[in-house]
Amino acid sequence: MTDAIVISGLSHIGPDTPTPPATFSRLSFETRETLGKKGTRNMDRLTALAIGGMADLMPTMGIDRETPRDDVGIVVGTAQGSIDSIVRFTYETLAYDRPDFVNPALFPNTVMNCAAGQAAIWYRLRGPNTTISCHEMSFLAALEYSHIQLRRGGAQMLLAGGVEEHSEVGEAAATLIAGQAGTEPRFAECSTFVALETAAQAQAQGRTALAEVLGVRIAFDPDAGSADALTDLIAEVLDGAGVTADAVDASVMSACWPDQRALEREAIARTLGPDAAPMATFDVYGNGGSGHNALQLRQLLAALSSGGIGLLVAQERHGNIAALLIRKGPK
Amino acid sequence: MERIVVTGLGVVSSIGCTLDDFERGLIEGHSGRAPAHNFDVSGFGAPQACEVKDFDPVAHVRNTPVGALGRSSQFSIGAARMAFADAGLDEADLKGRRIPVTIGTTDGESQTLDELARYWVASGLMDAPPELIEKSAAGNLSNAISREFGLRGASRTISTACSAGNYAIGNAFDMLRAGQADIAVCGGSDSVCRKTYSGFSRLGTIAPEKCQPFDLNRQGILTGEGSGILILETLSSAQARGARIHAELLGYGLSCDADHMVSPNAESVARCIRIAHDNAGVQPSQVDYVCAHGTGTSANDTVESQAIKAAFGAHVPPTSSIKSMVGHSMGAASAIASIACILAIGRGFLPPTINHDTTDPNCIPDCVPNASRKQQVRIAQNNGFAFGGNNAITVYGALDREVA
Repeated sequence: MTDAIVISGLSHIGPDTPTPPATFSRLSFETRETLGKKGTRNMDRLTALAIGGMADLMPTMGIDRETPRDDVGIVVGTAQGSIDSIVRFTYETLAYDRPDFVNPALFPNTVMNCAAGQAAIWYRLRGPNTTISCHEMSFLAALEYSHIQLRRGGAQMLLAGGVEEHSEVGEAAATLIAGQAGTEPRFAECSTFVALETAAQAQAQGRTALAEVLGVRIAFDPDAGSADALTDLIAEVLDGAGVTADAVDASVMSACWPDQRALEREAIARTLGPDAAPMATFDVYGNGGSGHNALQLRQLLAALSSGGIGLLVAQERHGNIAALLIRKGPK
Repeated sequence: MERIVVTGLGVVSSIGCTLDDFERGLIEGHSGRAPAHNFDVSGFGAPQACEVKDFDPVAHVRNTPVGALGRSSQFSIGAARMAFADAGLDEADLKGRRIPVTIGTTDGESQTLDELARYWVASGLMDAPPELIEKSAAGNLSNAISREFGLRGASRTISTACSAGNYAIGNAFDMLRAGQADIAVCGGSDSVCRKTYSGFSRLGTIAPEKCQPFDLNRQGILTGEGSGILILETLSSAQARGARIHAELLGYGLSCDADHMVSPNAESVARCIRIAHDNAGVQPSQVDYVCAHGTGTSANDTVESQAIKAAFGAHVPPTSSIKSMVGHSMGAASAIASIACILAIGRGFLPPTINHDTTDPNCIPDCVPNASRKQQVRIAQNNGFAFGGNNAITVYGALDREVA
């Protein structure tokens, strides 16, 4: 099991109490209060949340902001980067007399990899630095990408996360989408990062794993009308890990949208049996956007006892599907 | 370890929307620049850009409503369809297979985001149609291909800006090496947009007329667009179906500057070159050609040249920038440049750096100025750098070379 990949830490800024319906909840996080004035003048909220969201991992992982680390990288899951920074920049080229009245220092905020790049500068992490956009499955896509990178030896440690900011443009976009889908607009800001490394390295460094990743897969379901694809994917992950359905102690589904929720429920029932009672993350926290699967992961970890096996599933609205199987660590 | 080969290529670019036209453009040194008209240039006079011409989405998009797709997704599907055809893979045989798709991008569906800004200025964000929001999601670029062809593998969009194409190719390489698939689709796509033009313009990094990488008097980039798609395959899969093999993908490397969001870092780029060479199992002296990031800005070309000199020592291979011809197609750039490397290997030529007048003594010594050169290429290196200090380099080789 020494080549197993483990989650050796998790840090989180986000909703810790249920998100009320019909809102876009904004955290009490303020960039300058948390990160200070230096280097944050032109930083947008998404980037600040990313830097703040991974901060608690650093002491445990031996990262000090002073020593450049070529062996540690960052993988950020974000559906769109800061849609507010992007659209606002264009707005300003259109709203004023001349298009070049825009502030050039804000231009880097309009690339989707801004949060990952700025976080690398902040913590001096020079390993693989990747940004993945997979709608509301962006966190799991980042985790899965990190898993592959670690397996190939591309880094010794990767900090993989999902980040969602509250913003004027983001709230409008989310509200329009929810309106079209006929669902309540209930969205949550969050930034959650996990530290991933091999079990051997965690052990050598004296870090106790929060959980072992027994398997993680993402796939695409072009039909998106049946639970077959997700059912197959779950089976693949269970088989790959040599885990039988009756060994799974808890499960969690994203439950963000009514149609996909029904498919998630069906796939879990077909795999784990009709009595499986998956937790539904949306019902507690609302839609965490790019960080939604991270909220699921936290729920799953909280529900598992030491050594317990948990299954996380997601059927995303555009056809992306994911299954993650973990075994909770000893602490 | 399973060897990974390239069996299909598809390209949508400002110098051609077929592989043949693109190849001819590289050999003859065509320029894709023309007055910009595919994005809102109001307030900018009459800027030049390297836009895609003669691309008819209806000719390529068959199973998805074209109107539901943004321009970048249309390019993605178009290039993917051409790449599958080039690989000799029939659409009917692809449907339902666990084939992963990884697409890199800088700006995703940037034109729809431009449009959202126009709604905001005109009357308010909430007046935008929800369909516009749906169309604008970055994840659509890969999902559009997966849905159009009925592919069931992982569908990822990597949004690491202007090196994203190489990142995506590396990800597909890893998927195949890990045994998760036999065939993978990868590359990059982007569209010209007001946001990006405005930003580079404000930074003073857009050339007033032509893009002149490595020239003493270079004045910046020309913004561009397009898509480059590669079909990667395990060697055993390609051999089993008797596929024509363009080249081998030997490996790739990633590094992050962790230094500055916009200014490149020579030490970090040199480190990325070394990582890529190690991963590919090649020595610097074996590299016959470097396809440069070569944006044509003062900073990039100087720093990239320093890094190449540091990594290669006395033996600096010919290094050209196809951005002189196709402009800077952002997240598509390193995917399109990868195709140029693969054609260089397959057809035996070095693509030129056009518009070259005076070599900058601080840059690489041989930028293959103005005219392509007939030369055997056994190993080619493709550089991709980005805002955020995200460096990604891929290395390609002729299949029949000896494996170390």
